[in-house]
Amino acid sequence: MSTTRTELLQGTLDLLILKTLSGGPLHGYAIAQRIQSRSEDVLVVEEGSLYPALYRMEAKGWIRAEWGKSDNNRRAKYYELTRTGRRQ
Amino acid sequence: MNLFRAIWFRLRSLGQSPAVKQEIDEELRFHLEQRASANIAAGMSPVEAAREARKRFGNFQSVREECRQMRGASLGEDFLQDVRFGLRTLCGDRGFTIVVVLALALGIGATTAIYSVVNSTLLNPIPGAESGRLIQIAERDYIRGEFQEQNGKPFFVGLSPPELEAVMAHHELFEQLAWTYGVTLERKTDDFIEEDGGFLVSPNFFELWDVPPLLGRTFAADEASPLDKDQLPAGDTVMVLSYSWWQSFFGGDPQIIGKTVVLSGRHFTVIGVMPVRFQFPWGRAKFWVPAGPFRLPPGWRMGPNIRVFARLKQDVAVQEVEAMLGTVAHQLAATPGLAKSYGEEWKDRPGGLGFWVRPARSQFTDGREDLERTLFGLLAAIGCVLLIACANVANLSLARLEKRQHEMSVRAALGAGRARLMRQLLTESVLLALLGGIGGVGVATVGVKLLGTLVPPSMPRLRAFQIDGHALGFTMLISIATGLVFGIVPAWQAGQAKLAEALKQASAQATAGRRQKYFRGGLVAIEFALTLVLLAGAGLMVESVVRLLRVDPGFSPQNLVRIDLELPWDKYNDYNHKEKIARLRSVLWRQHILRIPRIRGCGSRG
Repeated sequence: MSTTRTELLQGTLDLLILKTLSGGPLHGYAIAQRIQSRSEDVLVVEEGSLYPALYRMEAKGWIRAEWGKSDNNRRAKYYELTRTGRRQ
Repeated sequence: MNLFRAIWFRLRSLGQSPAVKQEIDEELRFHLEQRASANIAAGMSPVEAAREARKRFGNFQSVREECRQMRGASLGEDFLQDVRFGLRTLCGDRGFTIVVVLALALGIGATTAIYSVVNSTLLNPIPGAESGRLIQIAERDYIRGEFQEQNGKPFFVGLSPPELEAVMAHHELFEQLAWTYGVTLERKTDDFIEEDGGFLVSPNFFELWDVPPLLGRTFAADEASPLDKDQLPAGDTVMVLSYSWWQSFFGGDPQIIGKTVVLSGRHFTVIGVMPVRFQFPWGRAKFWVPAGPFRLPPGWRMGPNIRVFARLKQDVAVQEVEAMLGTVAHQLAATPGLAKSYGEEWKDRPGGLGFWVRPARSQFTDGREDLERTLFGLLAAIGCVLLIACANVANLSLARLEKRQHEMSVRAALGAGRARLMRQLLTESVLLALLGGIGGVGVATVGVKLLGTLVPPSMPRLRAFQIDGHALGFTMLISIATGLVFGIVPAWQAGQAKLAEALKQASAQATAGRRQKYFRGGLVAIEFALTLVLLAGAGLMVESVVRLLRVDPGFSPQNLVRIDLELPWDKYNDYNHKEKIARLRSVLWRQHILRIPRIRGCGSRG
């Protein structure tokens, strides 16, 4: 029972991330911000749980990560959709 | 694609584990700091901002762990840890390790050795790709309406000169067609005339088998020496030496290329030496001389003794060759000239003149039933030994695991998952199997040399007795399969034990213990059965060897000596010099041999 629920949650989170990234590459913090603002704070996820999901999707080849500069000129890891990811 | 990516991720994390960890930490910290500064901007104090950021983030440690696992960082580390730990425990339990590695080395090494020899002599005697397209062609040989037989197989020799010529005309079917014809040349020494046996071959003979020379070169297409009426080279020509003759007669002279040998009054210039593995079409061949074509003087006859080998063109089927041979036989039988140059014996045969085709590998394997039996028998026996070794090792591992039960439960209690424990045990057994595999290669190297002496020197060979790629793959396969087999069983048992621990300890241990005992009892029974099979087989083998040794030759071979006498062919041939030979023989008997003290009597033949 519990596994199906986590799978469901995971699937939802993945979908949200993919949707968010379809607008262009973003770093992890920005993804969290977007998801929260879009769902108008209805969806309360621990922000940390975003990262395992990102790594999982990267391993699956849906998204691609690259280090870049953030708005305030710090090193940040940016994620963008791959072609496989776009199809999901 | 996905699999490849996953492997790449794992590999990368294996190589640069600290870097990957740092990346993860940096990314997560960046998130916290961004959130904190956003909080400060919203009016919180720095301390409060940081706390709020961590709260929203959730459990930092577990997120970090999860990320590492996703990246495989932790998996790679676990693996290395497993290997390190495995090596340490194996070193700690030296007695166990030595026994297991030795058992495996013997099993794996002996299996590899015997497989190598079987493979290079019987299974795949011809090197190179597509050896299946190599065929041999010969005249059908009947005696009194029956196939002439040799060990239950049709006697397969070759073609006569007019037949060879007719078949060679159909080069549209063959990529290469090469032939070989045995020849004996005389070599005069101070006291004797020695006979040296070799082969006349078509210049493309070595190309067909695709074996390069050890020294020098092989024949060029235009080097074929014309033949005289005795089917010997008409003049001086070139020669390639076999390794064994080069060693025994020329002392392995590295400067041999370009030197000449005088045989039967002709000068032969040595242009190459073949490697030791090339012994074809007969194991005792001393040399090869390029020659052709055969031109028989009118009225001269020659039997179908030219062995013919061919490589079919890519899209040619054996049936097409057979059809062509049928037509050729038909045409030749209708040619009046054939009877003149070849005789008319074939007219008495039930099928008339005809040809047959067989795979070229039969030249290596046909008539080798004894060797086949010995080698395959050994292979089966050694297979049993390997199985016994495996069962033995599995049993030892189980016994050892029982001793380690305590350790396992402590580790389980400290939080090691069942999968983690199984992986640890599997790593240990694969390590053991690999160590055994390495030892096995050593045993195999020695074994191949020993087994090589079992193969009669007269046997045709194109391949070396050495551990080839096939055999090495075979070892590795056995080695890893063995590791998995005896790794999975104890690991599975370990898993069981862990489950059982959840139950009340006393009763749980009793059930697990009994099941394990049954299992180990089963292993011992299998071992015992295999050993019995081996013993019985070995006993029977010894018995048949003893019976062979007792075969009565019909005379007492004690104190008998045989002398061979070679006479120059031109001065003493059978046709014209029968009386001369008889006179020589009686002189030899009376005046030389019988005068040697302590010779009681002598007789002669031929």
